[in-house]
Formats: sequence, structure tokens, C-alpha cells
Amino acid sequence: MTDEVGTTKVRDVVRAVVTERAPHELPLVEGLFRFDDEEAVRVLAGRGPRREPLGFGLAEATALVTAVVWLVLDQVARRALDAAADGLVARCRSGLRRVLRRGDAAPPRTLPELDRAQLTLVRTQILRLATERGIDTDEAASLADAVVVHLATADPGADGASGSPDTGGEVNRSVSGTDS
Amino acid sequence: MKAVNAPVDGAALVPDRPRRRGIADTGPRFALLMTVVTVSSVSMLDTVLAPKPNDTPGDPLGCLLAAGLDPDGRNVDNVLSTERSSEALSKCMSGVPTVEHWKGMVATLLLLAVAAAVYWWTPRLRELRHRTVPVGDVDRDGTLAAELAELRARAGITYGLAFRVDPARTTAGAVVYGRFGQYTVCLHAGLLVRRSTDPEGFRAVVLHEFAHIRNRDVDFASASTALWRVFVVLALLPYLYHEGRLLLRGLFGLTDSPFWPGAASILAYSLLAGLVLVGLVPLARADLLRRRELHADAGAVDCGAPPAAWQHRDPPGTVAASMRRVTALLRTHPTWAERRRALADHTRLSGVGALSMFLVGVSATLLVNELQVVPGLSADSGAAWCTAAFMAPMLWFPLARSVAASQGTGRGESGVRSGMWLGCGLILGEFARGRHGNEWLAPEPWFLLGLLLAATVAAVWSAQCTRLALALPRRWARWAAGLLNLLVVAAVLGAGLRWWYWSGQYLAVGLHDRTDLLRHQMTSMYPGTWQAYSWELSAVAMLLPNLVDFTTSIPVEAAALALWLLPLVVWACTGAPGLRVRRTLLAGLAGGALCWAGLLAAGYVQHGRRPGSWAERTGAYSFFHTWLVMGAILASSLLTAAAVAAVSRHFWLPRALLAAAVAQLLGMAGWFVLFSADGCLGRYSFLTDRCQWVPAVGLSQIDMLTRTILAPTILFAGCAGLVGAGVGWGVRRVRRGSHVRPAPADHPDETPGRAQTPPPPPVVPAQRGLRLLSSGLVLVLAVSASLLTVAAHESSPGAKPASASVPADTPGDTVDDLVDAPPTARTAKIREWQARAWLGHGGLTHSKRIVDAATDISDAFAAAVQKPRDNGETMLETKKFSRLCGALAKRADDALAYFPVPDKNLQKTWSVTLKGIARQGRICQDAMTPGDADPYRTEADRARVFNQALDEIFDALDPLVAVLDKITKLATSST
Repeated sequence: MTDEVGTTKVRDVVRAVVTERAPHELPLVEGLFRFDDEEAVRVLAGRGPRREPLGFGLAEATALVTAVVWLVLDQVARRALDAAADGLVARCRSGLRRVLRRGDAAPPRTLPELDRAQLTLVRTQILRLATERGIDTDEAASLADAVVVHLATADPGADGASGSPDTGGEVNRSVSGTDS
Repeated sequence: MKAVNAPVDGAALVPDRPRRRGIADTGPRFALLMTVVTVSSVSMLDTVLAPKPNDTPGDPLGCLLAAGLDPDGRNVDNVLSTERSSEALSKCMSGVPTVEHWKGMVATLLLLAVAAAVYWWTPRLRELRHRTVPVGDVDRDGTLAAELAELRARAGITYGLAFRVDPARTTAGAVVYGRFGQYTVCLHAGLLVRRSTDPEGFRAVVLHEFAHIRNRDVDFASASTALWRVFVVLALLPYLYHEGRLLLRGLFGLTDSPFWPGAASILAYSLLAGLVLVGLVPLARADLLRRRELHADAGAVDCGAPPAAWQHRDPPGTVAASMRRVTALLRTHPTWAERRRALADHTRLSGVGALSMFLVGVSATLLVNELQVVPGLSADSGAAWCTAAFMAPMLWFPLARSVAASQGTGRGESGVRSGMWLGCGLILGEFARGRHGNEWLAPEPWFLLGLLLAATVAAVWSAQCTRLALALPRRWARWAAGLLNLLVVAAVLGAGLRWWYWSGQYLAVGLHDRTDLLRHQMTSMYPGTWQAYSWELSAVAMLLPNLVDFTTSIPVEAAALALWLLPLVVWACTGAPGLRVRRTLLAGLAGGALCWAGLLAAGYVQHGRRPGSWAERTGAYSFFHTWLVMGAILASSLLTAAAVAAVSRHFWLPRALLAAAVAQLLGMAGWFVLFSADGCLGRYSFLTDRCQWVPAVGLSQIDMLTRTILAPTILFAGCAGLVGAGVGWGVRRVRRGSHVRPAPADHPDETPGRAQTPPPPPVVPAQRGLRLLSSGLVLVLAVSASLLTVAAHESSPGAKPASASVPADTPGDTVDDLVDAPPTARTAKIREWQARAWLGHGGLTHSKRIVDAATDISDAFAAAVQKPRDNGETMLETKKFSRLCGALAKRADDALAYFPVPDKNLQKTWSVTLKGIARQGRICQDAMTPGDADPYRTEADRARVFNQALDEIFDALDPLVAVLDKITKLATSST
């Protein structure tokens, strides 16, 4: 059993969406590609304001689009993975493997094939998080649409498990949690 | 990417940066802070590395106990007992190794080496930890490197500089780090995004970081951080552990030392001194960095950054609003609002920070306290001058800059606030030094306020004098005036600190016994009926030491002269009307008239109680008349200063000082006339009734007056001026409050010293006649006062007047042997320890030697008696007995030089008996030493004196032994 639940990598979708909707954020995305998904998400979730002596003193994060897309898709991928590892023993194994593998670069997270309901939920999450992060409504809608389009048109050739119906709710809570 | 390292000649593009002067004082303040840290590490490591008391040879604690130290007694008694027996104590301590400062110094050198290594490797470690990447890795098209190079050229940075990107930071900022001459600007990944969306904002950030490099902020910040971190780990924490462990052992009852709980306050203050450093360094560092941040902003804008890039909102933060003011002090960045205000109003960059001044005060006193480890700097006077030398530039420079920047803006710089904060810092620093022995607080801590007065006088005078000097037409003249200003500030601060180290701290401890000593010495020096002058005697005894502190130093006397002369000279050169010299001189004349009235009144009062005989008139009576005269001159000068300062609107301190100086000179002239013509004044004559003009006598009096009060009067007048100005300000506020006048909007910054100074007085070219008059006046005043000062100094050091010679140069000498013995210890246990230590450290030995010497004499005498001459007479070998008696006298003297017996009653017997033995021993010695001036006419005479002396000596041995028995009993009372 691996961490992969599909063949569509989260970071590929992120790059595609950012290239389309916010190409100026590409330097950031490329920089983040140096880290594995877990670390990149931690960076994007923000570690709170940290001021350094002799810095400019700005504590606000930029790169809104990247953060919104990556955080939501990462949650989708993780929830799908957890749902695939059904049963307590399998979950423990999965968790243990993650712990043991810490230090090595983890393989990129992948997304399962999403059905219509799940795509709708992802869209809702994108909209909500984008609004929370100060992106105006129209732009948020375009962004959400772009994400859905990319997810829907991604290569579905994978045998991973599909997400459970409550994935969206989990995503909602988790994303809100990481944002705080 | 190191490709941008090539030198770029961009200096031509850099705009003129006059504002860089604004941070010129932060460098020395960083240096001061780091010096404090370094020197503190020496003393802390000394403590940590010192061997445990049980492992050291000698018995320092026993010596202290033998000297009469009572760990539970009053601190002042302990100070007195150690001072009184200082010679015996140092003799007793000679076996105790002194603190091995070399260990601390070597350890500090190692610490510095570690700090240097940390400083050197931190940039590299940082890059590894943050996994930053060269900028070329994210700059595919090369436009970023080109833009950075262009900005770098604009900022005029021609030395080693690398750019990196931190992909893990999504904020639109950057940070600069590195070591000397090799810097790295690390752009946050978020900033690269901002470059596309807000190019001007991107440039502002980068230019801001360049400004940091140009201002050398990187060097200061990284060096101070490295040193501080290493210091905390290697010196501060071990030290706190060392002292804290001792304190905890005592608190939990794990010690049986006689010095517990007396040492609790000493240990607690040691911990406090360390903790003060923990508070001081981060606060001062953050304050300096905040200031430098504002200057980096200004530098970025100077290089073309748009001020709009500073339009950010401050994050709400997680701390409560009430705590935000406190936490803000620790932040290295000012708020965005403050940064915008500083960009909009450049005079804000020149203001003197209250916190800065406070921290300078604390640092300076801590430094001096720690500098005692340096050989030659332990003297109190050296410490005072050293502190003053450190503080003066840090007070003068920001004040001068602030005054210059506030010209024409309506924002006044009075110096009151700066001076008071500096004084508060000094007070806190002195308090944290904890020189209270076994007491938690000095019994009379208000003497510390003297430091506040000194700092405030120095600051206010400096600010007002700088303001006057700005009107000087020539640049070199302004610089010269500034330099003199700096020297005077240093001298005034030094005078205040010297007073503190010489007198103030002993007064704060409660050493008023000095007053008793002086009373005693005066009454024994001047015969007369002292009962009539009881309170005057007390007043003189109180005042005298404080006066003397200001009269034995050339810089202080020169500063006292310059305090009023420098503004006057500047006025004579510029004719600036703000000083209102004519009115001030009139006020001085009024003060002089008041002084004359006082002199006449004193003469009238004294005439009434004049003794009949000449001999009595030259004793106490004459002594007090002189002091009355001094009192009249001093009081009238101070009153004049206070009144002038209270009613003056501008330049109130120079005016007050000028008026006081004029009043003083007039008062002295008046006294010269009165004394030279004494006898012609009828009811007001003080010494004689025969009318004649004797200027020589008057001159001798003036000579004495100048020696004693010339400089102190001016310095005290400065303090009186402060008080007067404060009262005047208070009265005006009350009156303004009672009238309905919404004035505050017009006077936003008003402080006790009238911070709301007016716009600078316009320079009006003085008319020719007026100019000549003013120059003449200045010349007359300057020459007369200078001559008096020179005369005062020339006659003061060698042959001080009898009265002024009483306090000697060191407190140790002034703290007397008036009290024969320390007070008896409160607890029986301490009394027992003291007695045991006293016996063990020499009491027994001295007694035994005396008894042995007496036994030698008696043995020799017995031997001589057994071998009579042929005629039956006893033949004594004079040489032998002379030697033996001399040896006995010496033994008794030695015993007298030993510690007093730690029991008041026994000490009386001990001292009287030993003095008797020494005296009789010398009589015996003289009787047995035939000389040219032989006082003994016949041999029988000689034999009678010899026999009598021997009888007395042997009689005295009984009480001596009795004393010894009692002490031995005391020492063994519990066994």
C-alpha cells in the first residue's frame, strides 16, 4: 500500500492552475517544489508572523492563489488517503510509515478521481478559503472553476479508491484549522 | 548567486545623506552595550571560577568578624568597622589570595573567541537551516539579477554582496545578514511575487535592506547578537546558577554560615545585577535596531523608494492592548504608523529617545561597577570620570542633533526629558549595584536624587547652550562651542558622580557619623564657646563635605566657570537677544544687593554676641562668622538662580547661572569691602572697632571663600535653577488651568523645563556701542571669575584651610576612628564568633607578646638586683633596659593597631591600658637613654622615673589579663 491514491499529482494541478490564474506566483511555486508536499503546505499555511532584525518588517503572506489551491487539494488528497486506509490497523500502519519515512523526501501526494459531488465540494472549499484570504468573489469563482476544470480533465488512469462522501466536510474543517 | 559581487560604481547615484548623522550615536551605544557585556563577563566568570571559601588559604570571613563585622547588624556600622580597621584588616587579609582577575579575563577572551566563531559561522548556518537558494535558481530570464544590480548601484553598495531566495517564506519581505564586508540579502519567495504585482514595493524592500547594509546595521546587529548569546550561555547562566544556588541553600536552611541571613540581600543583589543585564541588553538592542530601522526607511526613500510602499496595517497582535506598550519595547521594528510618521517628518529621526537615555544611564553605571576589575580604575574618582566620559557624548550628541533639527519647526528640545531619563537610568544602575551590604535598601536612598539633578542640569544646559551657539555665524565657531559644550557636560556629570562616590553613597548608607566627626574636629581646632553655635555647627558639618567634593578638581572648577561664561561669550559674539543679558545682569545685581543685606545682617547679629577678648574672637566666633558669610553668599546666589529660572521663558538655565554668578561675585566684592574696612561699620563691625582700611586682610578672606564656595555655588545654582523652573512651570500651569484657555493644542510638548521653547531668536546685529559694552562686560566678568578660579585652585590642593582639610581625599580616611569600637553584636552567637576570631587572628598573640616583653624587663631587673655592685647599689645596664622598654612600647602600639575588642566596654579598658603601657614604655626607654638633651638632672631623678614607669607597667598588666580572660570566656561561652 502506498501514499498514492491516484496518478494526478497535487503539485501538477497547483502548477497548472497557478500558471493559468496567477502566473506571477510561479517563482513561489517553483521554490516550493523543492520541498515535499507536507512541508510546502506547512509553509503556505503560515507559521505566524516572524520578524527578523534587519528585515523589512512585513508579516503578511502573499501568494494567495497558490496557498488556496494547494491547501485545499492537499486536504482532498490526505482525506482520500485516509479513507483508503480503512480500518484502524491500516491507518496505524500508514501513520507509522509516515513517521518512519520522515527525513526522506516523501513522494508527491496524488489526487483520486473525484465525482461530481466531490468536485462541487472542492469548488465550495476553494471559494470559501479564497474569500477568507481576501480574494474578491469574481476572482475566487474563476479560480474555483479553473481548479475544478483541471481536476475533471486530469488523466483518470488510476486504480485508487475514491473519496468518501464526507471528505468535503473534513476538508472544510481541516482547511479552516490550518488557516487559523 | 555570487555573480553580483563585482564592484559597482554607484556612489555618484547616491543622494546626499545628511540624515546619516542621525544614527551616528547608535554605534557608540552598541559599543557601550557590548563593553558592558564583556566587562560583566569578566566579573561573572571571576565569581564562577573563584575557589570555594573553604578551599582558599587564609580566613577572610574570620578577619571580618575579628574586625567587628556583625552580619546581622546595621550596614553603616559594618562599613565603619571595616573602614576604621582598614590597615589591620588588610594585614589580616594578606594571607588571603586576592580575586584572580586573570582567570576571568582569560575566560572572557575564550568567550570572545567563541563569540567571534559564532559571528563568523552564523550566516553559513543560517543558509543551511533555512535551505535558501541562490537567486539565479529562480531567475530564469535574468531580469531579477539586472534589477537588483541596478538598485545596488543606486544605493552605492560597492562591496561583497550576495542575493539568495528563501522559498519557505511567503511574506513579501527580505532580510539581510552576513559578516563584515560580506553580506547576503535574502529575498523571501513572497517578495518575488510582489515584484510582479507591485514593482515599486519590491524596490522599496530591497532598497531598505541596502540601507541597512550601508548603515552598517548588519555588523552591529550580528556582532551584538553573537556576543550576547554566547555571553548568556557561557557566563550569565553559570553565574546566575552559582549565586542562585547559594541563595537557595540559605533560603532552605542548608547553611550554618554566620553570614546568613545577612548575606541574603548581597546574593539577591548579585542576582538582580545579572537580571538587570538580561533586561537591559535586549531592550537596548531592540531600541537601537528600531532607530536604525527608521533610518533604513529614510535611506530607502532617499534612494528613490516610494513612501507609499510603507502603507501597511499593523497586525492586531496577540497581546492585550495594555501590554502592547511593554512588548513594543522589545520589538526590533517600529509600528508601520511610526515608520510613516518618521518618513513624513524627518525631525523625528533626530529626537532624543527617553528610553535610549535611560538605558545609557543604566549601562554606564553597570559598566563602571564592573570596570573595577581593571587595575587602576577602582578608585571612586576614576570610576566617576570614566562614567562621565562614556555618558557625555551620548547625551551631548543626540541633544545637539535634536536641537539643530528642531530649529524652525516649533518643536522644542529642552533637554529636561533626556536629562531626567538619564538620571533615572543612573539611579536604577546604582540601585542595582546593591551597595547596601546586608540591608535591602539604603536607609536614606533620596541622596540618589543628586544624580538626577546632575544629569538634568547637564542635559538642559547642553541643549540650551547648543541652541544659543547655533546663532554663531562661522562653522568652526559652532564646532568649538559644541566641543566646549561636550567638555562641560562631561565635567558636570563627572562632578555629580564624584559627589555620589565620595559623599552621596555614604550619606545614603547613613554615615552621618561623619558629621559628628567634623563637629568634634572643629571644636577641638577652634577654641571658643561652642554651645552658642550648636545648630550652626551641625549645618557646617553637613555642608562642608559636600562643598569640598566640588572644589578639588580642575575640570569641575573650569566647568563651573564655563557654565555661565560660555553662553555669555556666545551672546557677545552673536548678540542673540534670547538670553536677555541686561535683565539677567539686573537680576544678578539684585541678588548681589540681597547678598550685601545678608552680610550686613550677619555682621549685626554677630556683633551682638561678640566675645570680649581677642583670643575668643579668633576662635569659634570668627569661624562661624566666615561660615555665615559663605551661607549668605550661597543662599543669595541660589535664590537668584531659582527666581530667574522661574520667571524666564527662554534659556532659563544659562540665565539663572549668569545671575547667580554675578550675585556671587558681587557678594564676594561686598565681603572684601566689609572685611577690609572692618571697624568702620559701627554696629555691623565683626572683629574690631578700630577703623582702618586693610585690603590684605580682605583678600585673605576672599581667597578662603573662593577656595570653598566659588565652584559649588554655580553648580548648586544649576540645581536651584531646575527647582525654580519646575516651580515656575507648576505655577503657570495652575494659573492657566484656572483661566479658560484651550492652550494645550498650541503647546503640545510642554514639560517642566518648558520644552515648548520659542522659535530660535533671530540674530540681530548688535549696535556698535552696545557691542563694545557687551564685550567689555564679558571681559570684566570673565577675567575676574577666571582669576578667582585660578587663585582658588592654586591655593587649594596643598594648603587647604584648616576647616576644609578635614575631609580627606578618600572616604576611608574621612570615616574616622571617632567611635572606638563597633557596637556590640546583637546575637550571642555572633559575639562568640567575633571574640573567637579576634583572639585567633592576633588578640592572643599581641597579649602574649606584651606579657613576654614585660616579663623580659622584670627578668632583667631581677638579674641586675641579684648582682649588686661592690658598694651594694644595683647597677642597671641602660642600653639593655632602653631596648627592652622600647620593645614593650612597640608591642603595645602594635596591639593598638590591631582590631578593637568586639565589646565596647572591654575595648575601653583594653585601649586605655595599652595606651598607658605604651606611654610608660617610652618613658622607661627615655629614662634609660642618655642623650644630649637629657631632661634628668641627676641619676636619682632618672632612677625615680624608671622605677615609676616600671610600676605603672606592671600595674597595667592586671587589667590587660583581665580583659583577655573576659574575651576568652566570651569566645568559649557556648562550649
